[in-house]
Amino acid sequence: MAGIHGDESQKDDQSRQQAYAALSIAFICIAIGIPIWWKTTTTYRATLPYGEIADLAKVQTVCEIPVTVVLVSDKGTETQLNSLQQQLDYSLVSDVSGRYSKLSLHYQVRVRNANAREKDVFYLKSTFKDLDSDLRRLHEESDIGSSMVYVLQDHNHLFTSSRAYIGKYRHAFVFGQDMKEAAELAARVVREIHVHEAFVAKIHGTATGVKHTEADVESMRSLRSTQGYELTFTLLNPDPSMVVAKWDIADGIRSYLDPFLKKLAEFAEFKVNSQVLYYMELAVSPKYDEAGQRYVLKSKVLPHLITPVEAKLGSHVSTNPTLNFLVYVPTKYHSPLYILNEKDEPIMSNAFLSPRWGGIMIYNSPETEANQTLPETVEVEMKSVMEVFLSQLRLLIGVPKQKSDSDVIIASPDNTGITDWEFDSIIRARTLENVAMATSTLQSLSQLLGQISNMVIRDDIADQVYSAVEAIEMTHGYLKEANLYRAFHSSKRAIQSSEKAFFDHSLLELLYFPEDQKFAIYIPLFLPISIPVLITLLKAIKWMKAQRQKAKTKSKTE
Amino acid sequence: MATSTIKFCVWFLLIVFVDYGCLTSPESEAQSFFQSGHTNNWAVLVCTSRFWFNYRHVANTLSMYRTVKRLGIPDSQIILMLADDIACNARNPRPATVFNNANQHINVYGDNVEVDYRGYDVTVENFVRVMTGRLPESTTKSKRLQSDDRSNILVYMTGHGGDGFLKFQDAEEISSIELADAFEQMWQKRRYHEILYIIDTCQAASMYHKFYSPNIVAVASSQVGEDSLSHHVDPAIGVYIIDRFTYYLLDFLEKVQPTSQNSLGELFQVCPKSKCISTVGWRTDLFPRDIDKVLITDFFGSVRNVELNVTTISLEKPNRTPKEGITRSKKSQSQLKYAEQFPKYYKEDTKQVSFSLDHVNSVIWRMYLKDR
Repeated sequence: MAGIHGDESQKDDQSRQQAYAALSIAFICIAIGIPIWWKTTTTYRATLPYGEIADLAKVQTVCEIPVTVVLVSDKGTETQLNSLQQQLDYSLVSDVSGRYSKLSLHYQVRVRNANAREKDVFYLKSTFKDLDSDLRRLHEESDIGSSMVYVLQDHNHLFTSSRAYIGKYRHAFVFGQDMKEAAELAARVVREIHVHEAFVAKIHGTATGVKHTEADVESMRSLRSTQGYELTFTLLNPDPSMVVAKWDIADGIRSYLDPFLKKLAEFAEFKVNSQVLYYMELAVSPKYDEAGQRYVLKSKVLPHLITPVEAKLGSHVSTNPTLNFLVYVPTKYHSPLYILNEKDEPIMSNAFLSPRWGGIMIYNSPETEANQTLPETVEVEMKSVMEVFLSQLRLLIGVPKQKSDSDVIIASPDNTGITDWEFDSIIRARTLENVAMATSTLQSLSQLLGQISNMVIRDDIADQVYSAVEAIEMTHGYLKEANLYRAFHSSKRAIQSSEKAFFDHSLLELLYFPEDQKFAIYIPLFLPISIPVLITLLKAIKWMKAQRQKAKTKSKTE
Repeated sequence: MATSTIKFCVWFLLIVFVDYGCLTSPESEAQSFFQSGHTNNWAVLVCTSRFWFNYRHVANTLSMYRTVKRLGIPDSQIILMLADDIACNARNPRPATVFNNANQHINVYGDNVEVDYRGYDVTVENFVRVMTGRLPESTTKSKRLQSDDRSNILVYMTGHGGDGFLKFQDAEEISSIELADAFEQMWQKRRYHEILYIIDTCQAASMYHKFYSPNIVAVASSQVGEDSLSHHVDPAIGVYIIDRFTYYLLDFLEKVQPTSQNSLGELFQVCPKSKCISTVGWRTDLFPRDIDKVLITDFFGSVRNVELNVTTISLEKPNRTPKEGITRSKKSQSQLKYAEQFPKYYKEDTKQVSFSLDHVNSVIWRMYLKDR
C-alpha cells in the first residue's frame, strides 16, 4: 500500500516539477524573451516633426514688397497725393496672389511728397544719369527688395522718347501729368520690371514641383538653386602652327569680372578657372558667303558645335555645377567667321549661349599683312570678350531678360554688371525657390520615412530636419516683414539642411522584405523551440487543473 | 462701293496687326532653337554579371557605351558599371580586347573607356545610391549622377534576370519594386526630366511592370516567361559574344547621327519576333509624348539647345596702375630651366652627410642618457 502511495507521490512530484519547469520556461520566454526580441529588432528612429512638415506644405508664402512713390511737383497738393494713393492701391496689386496659389506677392505702398533735398536735386540736375547718382547718395541705405518710384509732373525735358526711366539703383522715374496715368505706369514699372512677377511665379512653381514637359526658355536657361558655381574660361586654338592666340585672362577677370563676382558674393560662391586648348577644331565646317566675303555658321548647326568640345573641356573636383565660356579664334582658312541668325544676318556679338551650360564666342582676329612670319600671334582683347561673357553669365545665373518696350528706358548697369534692382530680383527669386524646394524636400522625406518602417533615422538627420523646419518658418516670417536680406539667408540655411537630410547616405532601404518573407525568416528560428514549450505548457496547465479538481473533491469528501 | 472700302480697311488692319504681332515678340527667335524640354543628357549603363561566360553582357554594355559617346554624351555624364573582368581574363585569347562581333572589327574595350564602378563595386546598393543620389560625401564627381529637372537619362541594364528581379554579380538581386521605388525617389527630387529604360535580360518585361513615376518609357527584350537569347558565338573566343536584342539595336543605332531625325518608335520595332525570337515589349503609358515623335538623340545623344546673344553689356576699361605692368614683364623675363634631377644635399660632400648622421646619433645618446 505504502509503495503504491509512494509511487503516486513520486509521480505527483515529477509532474509538479515538470509543470513548474514548463511554466517557468514559458514565463521567461514571454516576460523576458519577447521584450528583448522586440527591442533588439526595432530600428532606431529619432523623432521627426511630421506634423509641422505637413503644415508647412499648406502654408502660403507671402512676400511683402515695400514700394515708395514720391510725387515731385511744385504744386503737390493733399488731394493729388490721396488720389495717387488710391490709384496705386487699385493698380499695384499682384496677379500672383490668389487664395489658392502657394505664393502671394503683396505690395506695401507709401506715397509722399518730395522733401527739400530731393527737390534740390531735381532742380539742379538735368539728365537721368546725374539724377540717378545724386538720389542714390541721398538714400544710402535702401533696403534690399524695396522699390522707389518718382512721379515727375513738370520735367518734360527729361522724358523725350519715353515715359519711364529705370535707374541703376532701386529707383525709377515716371512721367505722369494725370494721377491715374502715373499710377498705372508706376505699377507697371514695379510689377513687370523691378519685381518681374511672371518670372518669380514661374521659378516658385517649378520649385514646388510643377510638372513641365515642353520647352520653356525662362525656366530652362538658368541653373537651379545651387550653393556655388564653377566658371571655366577656355581659349580654343585650332591651328597653333598658323595662329597662336594668347589672352591675359587673369587681368581680364580682375578688371571686368571681379566687380560682378564681388557684388554677388552673398548670392553664391564663385570659383574661376581658365585654360587654353590647342588643336581643337570646330566639328562643323563653316560655309563661305560670297556676298559678304566671309565664312558663316548658320544658326541651325550651332547645337552641334558644343558636344565635341565638351568632352575635352575637363571636369572639376567640386560638385558645384560648371559654366563653361569658350572663345574660339578661327584659323586663317576660315577667317573671318560670323554666326548668322534666323534671318541670315550676322549677329553683333558673334556669340551664343546654351542654357545651363555656358556660352561660346567667336573672336575674329584683326586683318594682318600677307607676309607675316608664322605663327602669327593674336592678343585677344579682354574687354569685348568679357562684355559678352558677362551678359551670358547674367542670364545663366537667373537675371531675367527684360522685354523691350518703347515706353520704358532701362539704364545699363555700371562696371559691376548688375543693377541693384536686378540683384534684388534674383535674390527674391532665389529665396522663394529655396523655400519652396526645402518644403517639398522635407515633405517627400517625411513621406519616405513614413512608408518604410525599417529605415534608421539617426539623431543628426533629425537635427537637420528640425533646423530646416525652423529656417523655413523664419523665412516665411522675414518675407512677411519685407526683410528680404534675412529671408534670403535663412532660406539658404533651410535648403542646405533639407538637402543634407534628404541625401544623407544612411537613408537607404537596403532590403525589401514583403510580409510573407518575414514569416519565412522567423519560423525556422522560433518554431522548433516553441512547439515543445507549448506542448509541455498545455500539459502543465492540464495537470494544474487536475490538481485543483483533486483538491476540490478532497475538500468535498472531507 | 462702301462695302469694298470697308473690306479693304478690314484687310489692311488685319495685315497691320499681324505684322505688329510678329515684331513685338523677340522671344520667338529663341523659341525656335528650344525644340526639346531637356538641357542635358545622362546615361547609366549597368552590366550586372561577372565571369568569363557572361562575355556577351559586357560586350552589350560596352557597345552601348560606344554608341552613346559617339552621339555626343561626354564621359563626365556617363556612369558605367561593369565587372570589368573580361579584357584581362586569363581565358581571353585576345587579351585587352572585348569584341561584340565574330568578325572582330571593333574592339569595344578600346583606348578611352572610363568605367566608374568596376569589379565588386557593382552592387545593388551602389546602383540605388547612384540613382537616388545618396552617396557618401567623399564620392568623386565622376561617380555621381548629377542630373537636374531638365536632364534626360538613358538607363540600360543587361545580365541575368527573372520574374521581377535582376541578378547582380551572382550574389544578390534587385527586385522590380526596388527599382520602381528608386525611380520614384528620383522623381520626388526632380532628378530627371525623362527616362528611357532599356533592359536586355530573360523575362525582362517584369522589371518595368511596377513603375509608377511619370515620364518614363521602358523597352524590354522579352516578356515574362520568355528567355532572351544571344546572337552568335565566336569560335575564336569560345563564348557567345552579343545578345540578339542589343545586336539589332546597335545595328540600327549605327546609322543614327547627331543630326538624325529617327524616332523612338522606329527603335522599338527593330527586333521583331522573327529576329529576336523573344517578344520585345515596351511601356509608354507613363510617358506623355508620342514615341513616334520622340527623337532618338533626345536620349542617346546630346544635342543642346542654343540661344543667340542679341545684346551685350558695355563695360568701362578700368585704370590700371603702371606698377602692375612692371611686375608682369619681370615675370616673363625669367628663363625657364629644368629642375635639378637630384636634390642638392645629395650631391654635396658625403662628409657632411656622415656628420649629420653622427649628430643624430649623439642626440639620441644624449636623450637616452637623460632618461637614465
